[in-house]
Amino acid sequence: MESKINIDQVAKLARLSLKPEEKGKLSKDLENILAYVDLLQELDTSKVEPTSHVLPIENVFRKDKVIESGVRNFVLDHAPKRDGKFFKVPKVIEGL
Amino acid sequence: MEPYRLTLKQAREFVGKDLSKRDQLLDALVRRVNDVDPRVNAYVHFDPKHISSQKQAELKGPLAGIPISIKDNMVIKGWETTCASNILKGFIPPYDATVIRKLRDAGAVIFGKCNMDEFAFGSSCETSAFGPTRNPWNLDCVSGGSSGGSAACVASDTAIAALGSDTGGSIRQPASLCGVVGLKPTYGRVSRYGLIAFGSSLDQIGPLTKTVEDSAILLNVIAGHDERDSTSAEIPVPDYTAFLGKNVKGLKIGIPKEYFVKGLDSEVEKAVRAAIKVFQDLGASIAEVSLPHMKYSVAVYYIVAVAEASSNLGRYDGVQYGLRCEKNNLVEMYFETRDQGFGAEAKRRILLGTFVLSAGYYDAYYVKGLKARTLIKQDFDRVFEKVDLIIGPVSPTPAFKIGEKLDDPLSMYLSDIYTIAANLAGVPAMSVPCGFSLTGLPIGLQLTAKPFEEGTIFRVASAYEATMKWNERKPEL
Amino acid sequence: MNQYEPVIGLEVHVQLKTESKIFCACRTAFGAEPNQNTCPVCFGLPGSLPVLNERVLELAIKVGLALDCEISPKIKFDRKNYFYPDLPKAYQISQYDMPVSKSGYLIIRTTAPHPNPLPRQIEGGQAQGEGRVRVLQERKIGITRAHLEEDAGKLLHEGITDGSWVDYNRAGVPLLEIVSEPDIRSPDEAYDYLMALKSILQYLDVSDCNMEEGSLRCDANISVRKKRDEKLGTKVEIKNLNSFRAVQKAIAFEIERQTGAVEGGETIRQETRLWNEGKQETISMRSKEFAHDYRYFPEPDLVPFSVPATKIEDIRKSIPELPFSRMGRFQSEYGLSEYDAKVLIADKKWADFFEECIKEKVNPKLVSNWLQTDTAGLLNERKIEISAAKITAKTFAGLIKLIEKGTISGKIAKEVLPMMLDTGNTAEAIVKEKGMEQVTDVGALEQAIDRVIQENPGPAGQVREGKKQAMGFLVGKVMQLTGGKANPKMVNELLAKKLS
Repeated sequence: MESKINIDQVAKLARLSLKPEEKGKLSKDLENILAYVDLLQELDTSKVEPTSHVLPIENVFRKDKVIESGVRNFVLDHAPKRDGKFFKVPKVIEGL
Repeated sequence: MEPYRLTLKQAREFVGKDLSKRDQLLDALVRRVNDVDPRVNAYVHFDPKHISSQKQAELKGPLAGIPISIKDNMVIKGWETTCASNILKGFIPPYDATVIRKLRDAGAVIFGKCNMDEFAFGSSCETSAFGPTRNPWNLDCVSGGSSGGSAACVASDTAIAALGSDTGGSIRQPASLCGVVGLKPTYGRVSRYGLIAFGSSLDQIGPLTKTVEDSAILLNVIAGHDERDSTSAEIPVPDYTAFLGKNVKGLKIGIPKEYFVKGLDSEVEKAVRAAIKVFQDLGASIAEVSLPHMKYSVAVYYIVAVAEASSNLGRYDGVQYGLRCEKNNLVEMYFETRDQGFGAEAKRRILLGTFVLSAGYYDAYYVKGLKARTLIKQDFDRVFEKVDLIIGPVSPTPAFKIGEKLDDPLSMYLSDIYTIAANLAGVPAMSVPCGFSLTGLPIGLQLTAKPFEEGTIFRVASAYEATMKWNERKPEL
Repeated sequence: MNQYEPVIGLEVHVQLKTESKIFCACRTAFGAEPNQNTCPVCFGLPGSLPVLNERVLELAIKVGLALDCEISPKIKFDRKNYFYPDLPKAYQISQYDMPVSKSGYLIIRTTAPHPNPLPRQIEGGQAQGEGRVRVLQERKIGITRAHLEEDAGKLLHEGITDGSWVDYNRAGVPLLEIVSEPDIRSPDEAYDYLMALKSILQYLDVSDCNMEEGSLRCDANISVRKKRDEKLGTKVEIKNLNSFRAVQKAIAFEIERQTGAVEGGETIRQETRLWNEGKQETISMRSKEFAHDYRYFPEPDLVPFSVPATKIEDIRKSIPELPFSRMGRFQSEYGLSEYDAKVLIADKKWADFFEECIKEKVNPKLVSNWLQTDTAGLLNERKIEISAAKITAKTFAGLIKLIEKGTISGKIAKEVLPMMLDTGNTAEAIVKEKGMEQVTDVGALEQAIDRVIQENPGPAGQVREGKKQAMGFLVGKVMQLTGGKANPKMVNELLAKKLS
């Protein structure tokens, strides 16, 4: 199938800013891979169910019980930027 | 014999309950790492301080005092864990992965963290932010990947045994290229809790060892249900060592006709065919079988695995841990951090995965991939109605030269053509050494069994190993 | 005549009442220190994995059953991918195409006008509102689906100028998102829907429904179209609605804005707008730099769920009497008007309090009146919940009994009630202590009446001459003289006798 990948749009969605010199190469790589993946189009899958879990496991639960993890300070201590008991991030500008 | 040469089984006998023997073993290995690893580059985080801090006053458990090396995508409390990526540099996990807890409970000493392809994206260990791991048999060649560090440290005797992870062949292919035993257990056999995810529906942790017996010993320790992993199976773990040393008489072995096709190196084909002959001689019955959809496995994999990966890697944004490129606003911080933090292959896969999940392409790619996955799984179900085990090659070629395929992702991806299907179907598969190329590079044989029948693999692999003794050959370093 | 009609659908996020989070064992309690209720799972740390809290699914099914939904035979979770600092994994575990339940409905009773009311109107249901008598109508609001998801953390901007703070205590708190069909046609109806839904959720005891603590949140989707048009207009989503009144007001504002725009020939843009409480208007979020593409796909870290029929039946059996049927029972069993019944059942705590009072064998209508008017007003002034008040059903019934017996008048009762609320004393004790009993002693009353007649010969003469209008003046004087404690009925009778 036709799969012209809009590399700028996909990169934006993935929060990756690509340098001009990477962009051309990546774009070409992706086109090649997608062309290879198009091999699947020859398969008739109209009567096939998709498999997202390979094991027939169902209904795995945990009980509604509180266990204190005690990891907060450890995680904050190693965070790139903390402010007291918070993580700190730069200004969030709208439009995200 | 130098203690670092010992197998896991031998090391256990060597140490016994003797603390000084334990120290002797650890010291010998540390010296060996210092001596050999600068050339091999199998370790990314190696700190003797971490080792001495684990020296228990009492030796108990099935792995008492035995050092085990860990691929750098399993979290260890207090040890920097990076997945060989710049984006995770400085990430200190506050918790132990379930496999690490199990190893500790068994008395093992966590020895060091092994190099890998960045986020396990690769088949050569060249995408690591720490530089490639070299093949101990030929330092100009790749170690394979993504668990290249885990395979190379076992092959170069800088580890007694190691853990790796396998999403599309990442344990078996480097095991094959480095001439060690590598097992990808059934999906759900070993807990993934604490394994930094690549393709969550495919990832599985497994042992890389010097012998089949060591593999069984290590799987005994790490396998089993974990209530922290919803996808871990509640199926009892047998004593895998009980399958060793049995004969293979009457066992039915299937050879998929799709295995011996163009692209398979003639030396690899020769070695695999010779192994088939050995099984015949040992009394197994050999039958040709068919996996008609195997040829689609690489295509399915590069949809399903990368889709999951693109989502799994969204969390690396510089907010809570790891790399952060400080910027004036959040959006710029995201872009800059991810741009600086991820290498080329990670970006390639994130982009591809984002694309196949995006609006307008989801059905054509992702759903199509999941449906083809069903067909691949059904192939295995059908074949396993007739045979107990499938054997074939692991990698289409022996180790290739460093740099050879780095610029051609597709040809790199195709080097996993024999291994990916087992992940898609969730079945267990092992690479066991089956010979050497004319240039002295190891070749591996792949044994694939029904889900949760790792025991059959151990039985057959140990019979083969005992007959051929390929594991006795060592690289010169 | 306005030729446009609004089409409204509501998305309500309800925090389910559990001890621990949806996918990990961290506490859900409100008010912890920043980032205190966290672990590797809800922090989204690399390597961590989710496991579903069993109680969460049970509560979600309970809600589904109460809303007459189909419970899906196969339930699965999906990842909704987007970047935001309050979303630690860069995806939210939610449900896309196999939610817990779907295709249900909620019947509401509302005085809001509707172009196409259900055929049956409720008889005798009258309500006082804005000086008009309005009729309660029954209306069915479709429930599209109710799905589970994890809450995100919280980004704080107040008190910090060079960035924002992130607190992940809420990350992983279990939410049930209840999505209505676009069946709502007015702001008042939206309000009544929310009240009815909240009421059901409280009856089910599945949520605290506290908007201030974030355990209940609502987004509204609004479009306008020409009346009798089949096609829906472009919908606008409104967020940041912090109370049911805000929902009502924001919808009203938005209807006016959109109608005005459409009448002026503008096209409505599909967008998200925020309700600005200060300015009482909706404002457009700046046009999105990033198009949303959530790339939903099945969550590989969670297995599918299929709830056995027996389990669903067990949950069904645990559902208590719901507001709708309780309302009917209050009418038939206690003879309350439909309006009174509706007001009483809306809040389970009030309805329970009412029924507790009735157990003391007091007049239900009297209890209902005293609860809805005076008690509600007094509690509101004091900002306390009835369940937290010092008054109990038993002491309240005691007050009603004093009124019934004629020990105190209604006027005195209005003085006693706030004292009960403030001190927790019984009505009997307060009345006794303050000497507030009605004077029913004929001798004492005659004494007072004689004095009033003596001091007011004019009006007394008028009454004697048959001018009954002066009667009221004299009764008032007697009441004044007795400090309001005289039994008005007896005073009337005695006065009439003396002046005949």
